[in-house]
This record gives sequence, structure tokens and C-alpha cells, in this order.
Amino acid sequence: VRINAGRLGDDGAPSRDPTGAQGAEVSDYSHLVGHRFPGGSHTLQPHEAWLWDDSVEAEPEAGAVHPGASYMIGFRAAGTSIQDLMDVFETPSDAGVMMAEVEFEFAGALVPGTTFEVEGEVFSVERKRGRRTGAFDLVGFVHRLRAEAGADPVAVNRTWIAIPRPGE
Amino acid sequence: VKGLREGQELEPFVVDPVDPARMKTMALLLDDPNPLHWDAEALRRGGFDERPFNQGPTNMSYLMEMAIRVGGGRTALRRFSVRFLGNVLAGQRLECTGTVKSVDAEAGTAELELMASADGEPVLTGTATVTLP
Repeated sequence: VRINAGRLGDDGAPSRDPTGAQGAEVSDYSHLVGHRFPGGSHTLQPHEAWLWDDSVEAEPEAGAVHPGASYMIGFRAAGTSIQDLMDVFETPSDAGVMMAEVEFEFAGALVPGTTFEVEGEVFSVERKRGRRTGAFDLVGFVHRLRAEAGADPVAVNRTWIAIPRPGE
Repeated sequence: VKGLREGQELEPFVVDPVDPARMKTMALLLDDPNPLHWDAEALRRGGFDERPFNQGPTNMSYLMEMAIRVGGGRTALRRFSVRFLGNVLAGQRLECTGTVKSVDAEAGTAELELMASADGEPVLTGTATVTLP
């Protein structure tokens, strides 16, 4: 993955399996690969930045939001909340969905007060089986954050979540 | 890069104990409807004890914070990846540790290997690329 050459996210999604489970199958939800989020914008408010720092016990830094808050900005602006995403995959909120892996690339600082334009989509869906977990869908999605419309992304977040599919 | 060498251990980042009140704030920040982060009754119904689960983005941010401190600031973090191995529960002692995997003096970057444990059990592994002053 390049960090200082080209645009963030140009290299596409990694193909490896972050869960280590073997033998991908076709999921009932494979047709959702390519599902795009509506997209939108979010202006990061100072109190949100402060509360993120407090929640993750980080030392505040003037002029730069904690990079982990990129995750919050992505969901707030993309037009698809966590529950919306669960609804797309017909999954209740208490289904025991787990984060499997997250990757971030940053091209610069996340500045408080910036209105971030965010787009994103689902890029992979695979049915997996783990010895302990049973069947689950490994779903990969991406958020691209831009500090202004049309500019190169300042952050790209790729996330893989494991959605249990008991009895399948 | 001045001050860092391959194999060097990073200053640990410790959260002790993991605070359930902060999970409620995070649930609002993320608009996360999963009750296992804040509802003791939902935890009982799910067959768990009453200790809420820390959110994944919080756990990964702990590791990020350690990497940021190596780089000397938030803008130093250029790439970060984390794999989630287990749950972090309220009241546990979370310790992040790491080492310098490599240093590229020409590029002014360092690759870090990171991990975190909760009450001694591995819960996260990760890597980070930081630029250094």
C-alpha cells in the first residue's frame, strides 16, 4: 500500500481474509457487492472531537482530530448508519456483529471544523465458516473522506465486519 | 531516523480499568445501536455477564494513540491496520504494546508492530506507518 504516491485508495481493496477462516462460499448477500452508500457530508464539531478524545483516553492535540474519529466521520457523512448497514444485510442490532479488521490510510490531518465529503460502498461479501463461530458473512466496506468535494481523499477507511449466520 | 531503532520496544499505553461510561458516549458518537455496549439486561439475555463490550473503534484508537505518540503527533500517522482477536470488557486492564519493525531513514518513516491485551489475553494486533520529525 502506497502512502505518499498517488491518491489514497487507488490500490483497491486487499484480497486477503482478515478473519483467518478458510474456504469462502457464495453468500446469500453477494449481490450487495458494489452497493453504494448515498454519500454526504459532515462538519466535525469541536465537541465531537473532544468527546472522541475523552472516550478513547487520548491526549488532545490542537488543530488535529484524533485519526480514529475518521471512523465516526465516515458513518456520519456517508448516509448509511451502522443500523442502516445492518438493515441492508437483514441483521438485527443485537446479532453479535463483530469487527474483524480495519485499515486506514491518511494523507494529512483531520482538521476540526472541516466539512468532510464522504462516499463509500460495500466491496466484498463472503460466506465463511469458523470452528467456534459457525457460519458468518465477512462484509467489507470503504469510506473515503474528502476535505472538499472533488479533492483527493484525506482518509480512506476499509472495514471488514463478521455478521453471524446461525443455522446456515 | 533519529531516536528510533529496529526492534525497539514502544512505551506501553495502558487503560485501567476500561470505563463503561465512555462506552455510552461512544455509542452516541457512532450512532451504534448494539445494546451489548451499554445495556446490562441485553447482556444477560445474550448469555453474557453484565460487563459491557468496548466498541471496536475505541479499542483500535488506543493502539493508534500509542503509534501517534511515537510519531510525535496525529499528522504523523499515515497508515494503520488492526485485526480484532477478542472482546474488551468493562473493568478489564487493557495494555497496548509494540515494537519498531523497521526504520526507513531516507523516507523518514517507521513501521510499527502493535498489539493489545485485556487482562493478559490478546485482543488486537496491528501495524502502523508513522512519519517522524
